[in-house]
Amino acid sequence: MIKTANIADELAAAEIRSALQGKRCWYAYSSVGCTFAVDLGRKIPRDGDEMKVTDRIRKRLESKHPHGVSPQEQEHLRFKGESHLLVWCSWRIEDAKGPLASSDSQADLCEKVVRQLIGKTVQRVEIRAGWDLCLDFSSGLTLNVFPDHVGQEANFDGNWELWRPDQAYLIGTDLTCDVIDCENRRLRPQPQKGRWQVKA
Amino acid sequence: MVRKDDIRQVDSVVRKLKLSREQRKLLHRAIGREELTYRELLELAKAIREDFPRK
Repeated sequence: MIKTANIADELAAAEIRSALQGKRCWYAYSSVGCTFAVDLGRKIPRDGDEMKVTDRIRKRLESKHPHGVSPQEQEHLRFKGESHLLVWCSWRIEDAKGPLASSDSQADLCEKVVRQLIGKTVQRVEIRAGWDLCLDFSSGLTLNVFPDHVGQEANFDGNWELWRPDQAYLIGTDLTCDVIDCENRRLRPQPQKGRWQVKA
Repeated sequence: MVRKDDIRQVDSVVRKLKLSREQRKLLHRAIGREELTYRELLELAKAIREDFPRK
């Protein structure tokens, strides 16, 4: 069996696995172009500047939804997950019977299936060559993420991101992982060579 | 695949306004399920940059 034994930054991969493993998803939403994000783990209060943005979001939502903003949504406007996974690239969610939705699905289906992750716990994390990410959730749901924005001609400058309170892991179009701190300073430069290797 | 035209627009706005990664993350949250024109997206991104200027 071929397994990824060495990706560009084993330390970053280990930290990402640790940040996701065993964490419960308490919020999930889809956004532009069937991209989505999930919040996992402890609920961290948003700081003042973030609250300015989320207040703006709340006002926009209230203007469009006369019945108000759902309690879950309200909570997410005040708190963020200790781990926030944001997926800009291709993905698929499946259960034991087969695929439920992917980034190629219609927006309504994307939203419905992504929200099925709420309340589920990450039971297994696998990061493969090229920063493919696979998360097995409780209840048998599996999320597969495939970084497909590659090279200088990519449609979007990035693939997937994991945000923690103190730092973020950003999978770029060169399929390396940049680690930045909360002041947007790069902590770990991209490696000079040896992007990944597959070992038998 | 992810709707390329939609996220290309986001990428264009992010580059134009030189948004940081964290501002881009907040923009993603703010867009949500809204279908925005390029101009609306640009205005939203500008507002986020004002609200959240430090990074």
